[in-house]
Amino acid sequence: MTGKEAAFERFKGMLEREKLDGLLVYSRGTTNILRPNYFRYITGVRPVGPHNAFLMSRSGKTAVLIQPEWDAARVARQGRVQEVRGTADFTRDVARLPAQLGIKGPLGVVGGNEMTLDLYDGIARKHRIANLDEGFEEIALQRTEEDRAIARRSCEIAEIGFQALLHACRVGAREIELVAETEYAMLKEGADECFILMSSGKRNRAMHPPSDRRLADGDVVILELTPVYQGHFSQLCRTIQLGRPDPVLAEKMDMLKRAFEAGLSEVRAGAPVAGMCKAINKVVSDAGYGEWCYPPHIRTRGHGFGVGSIKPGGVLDEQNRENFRAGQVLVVHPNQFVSEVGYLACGETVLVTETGCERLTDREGKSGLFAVEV
Amino acid sequence: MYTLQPNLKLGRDVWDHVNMPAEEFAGRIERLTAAMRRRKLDALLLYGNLVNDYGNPAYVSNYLLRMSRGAVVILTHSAEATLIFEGIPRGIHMAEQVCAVGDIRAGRNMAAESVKVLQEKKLLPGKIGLVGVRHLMPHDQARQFYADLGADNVVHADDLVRKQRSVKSRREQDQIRRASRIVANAFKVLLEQPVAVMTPKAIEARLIREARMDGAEDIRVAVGIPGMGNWSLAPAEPIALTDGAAVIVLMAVENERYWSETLRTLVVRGNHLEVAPIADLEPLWQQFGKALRPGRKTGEIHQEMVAAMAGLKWVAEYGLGEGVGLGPYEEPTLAAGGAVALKEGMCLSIRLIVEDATLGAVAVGDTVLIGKGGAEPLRG
Repeated sequence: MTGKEAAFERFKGMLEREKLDGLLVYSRGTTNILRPNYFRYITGVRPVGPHNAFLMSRSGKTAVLIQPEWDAARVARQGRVQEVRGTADFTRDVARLPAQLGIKGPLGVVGGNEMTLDLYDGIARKHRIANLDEGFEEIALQRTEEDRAIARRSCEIAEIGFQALLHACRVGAREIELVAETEYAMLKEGADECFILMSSGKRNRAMHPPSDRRLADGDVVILELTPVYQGHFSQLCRTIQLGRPDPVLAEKMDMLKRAFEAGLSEVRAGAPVAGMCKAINKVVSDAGYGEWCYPPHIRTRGHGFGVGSIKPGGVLDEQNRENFRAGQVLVVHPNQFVSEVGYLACGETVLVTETGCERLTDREGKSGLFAVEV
Repeated sequence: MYTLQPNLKLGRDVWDHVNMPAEEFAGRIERLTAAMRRRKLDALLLYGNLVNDYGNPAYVSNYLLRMSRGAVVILTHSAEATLIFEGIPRGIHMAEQVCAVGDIRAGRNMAAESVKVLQEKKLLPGKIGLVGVRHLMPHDQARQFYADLGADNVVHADDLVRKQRSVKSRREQDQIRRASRIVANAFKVLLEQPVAVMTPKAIEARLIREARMDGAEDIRVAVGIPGMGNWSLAPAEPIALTDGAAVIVLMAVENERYWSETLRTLVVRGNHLEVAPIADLEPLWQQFGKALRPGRKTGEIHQEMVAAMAGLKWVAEYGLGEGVGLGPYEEPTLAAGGAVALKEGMCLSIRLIVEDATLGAVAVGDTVLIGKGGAEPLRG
């Protein structure tokens, strides 16, 4: 039995336990770094159109309904579901679909919070709806070796992207050129798409979309580089000095590196997420920057990544009540505003293990301030 | 056309005041407030969300939704506009750089935040026109919205904005021309330069790189391999393309909020791509351009083109086209029975895809501007 077949069996088990007749997984066709992609997890398909639904009956019959109609051929080629239908009237047809699969009773819905009123009420008029987002994530959290391989490859692509960015990083280059070259390198390596935020200047205030600003001697370039590979995000956050090294900047980056390592030492199965965040904030606070460790300046010390589950969560902060579990993938990033040098980026992706964690980016643990000679 | 939505609009986020000056937005707000008065509305809420449906709030504010979030602009009789975006206050500073609206706020729940603003402006209870709420807003927010406003006080006013947005001003036409130029240049580079490993993924990567360098905000590429059984346009995959294979490439680019789309049939020649011969389609394409005249109804045009393709195997599921502008998919749609009359200044993304004995299928598509004499292809 493949990993996905096993997941299907667990979903059927969930329907039995919850006394539900069917499972409906909905997607507006978006991918979000802070949310799981339930539809992609269960179908293996990147949703294209504005409405996508996967349906499974308790007996195991499966179907996909998608808009636009022409996308049905692609979804059918993937071969993971028994029946694929395209529709020009999704709201009408999704309300009819459960009955066509023999589902008459209550329906577990995942991703229902993305539905519009007409869509949700159209289903609710025929079936009692139970929100199964949490239960779905619990099942998706059980990562297979194939899932881990995807996470590792995503991280390799991030490193390739960073090398391309370093190569493009020169005096006179526009921010947008750096992003274009980085994205190009990652797409060629198979990334689905990329999420990149950056900033350049003598003293950066925050990361933002790339601009037409040209790099100058002495600039600091900060970035969050986040490829998506087969639906799996990975991220590295790094700081580059262009030109003559600034000893103050080096000292502050060293402080953030210590904060990162302190945070990492708290990552292991069973340990609280909040503990990792407190360890990071303690190092930064002890260095005199506690004021800027919390909202509205800093919102999170990392993000969980995955396809069907992003546990321990999209926002990892001291209020997070989750404990780490083996197999979870997350970025740990003590990105920080430091008054003397501005906003700095420092973060890598790791895989949680029973005894600690495995570094998936910067595998050697050597990352720090990157220097580019002028 | 519908295309894969990215998790983030990766390109620049700029407001070029020369291309789109503040008075353009002021004019739109003035026309909408006049329409509000005619319908006796106390306020008009323009809602949008996700990376495709940002058009309603952007139309009056220039605010761009870069991720799958929501935003709303509230207009009042005094032509005051308030923008609320889903996010944290830290984003207000960045929004101010690109927005034509002075009052900018951040929040989590667009319905709840809108109600707060309406209460602050003493507009509740009152007749509130809603745009985009029914078709776009998540159900829990929409439900709360209707409850807070009172169902009797809500007027769905989507048509007000839809009408205005469907006919493009001269400046909007120019923005779409600029987006078209980026698409044209990306294809030009793709055809000129060798592709080391010939796969749809490599084609996508090259097109995106060129468009990004040219300043595109958002870029979509879909690729079809018509020689493959049961083919369709799809996200690019790293599968090898053999010499002589045909590839149908769709590229859509958003530049400074405005979209343009192009569809081309290419053939692999070693490590290069060539434009496929589409001589059979040329007369049809010419006819299509002439059919798109002001005053003609979309259904009539559809009927004419379907009749013209009688001897060919039309791949009908992709349709003939639809409006394009502040979204990659707008009204009107060129569909059977369509009753919308074309107007001068409308911009459409049109396409013809037919089966072909040699290549599997051939396709051509462009973004066109409806003028007095027919459609003008915007090919840069």
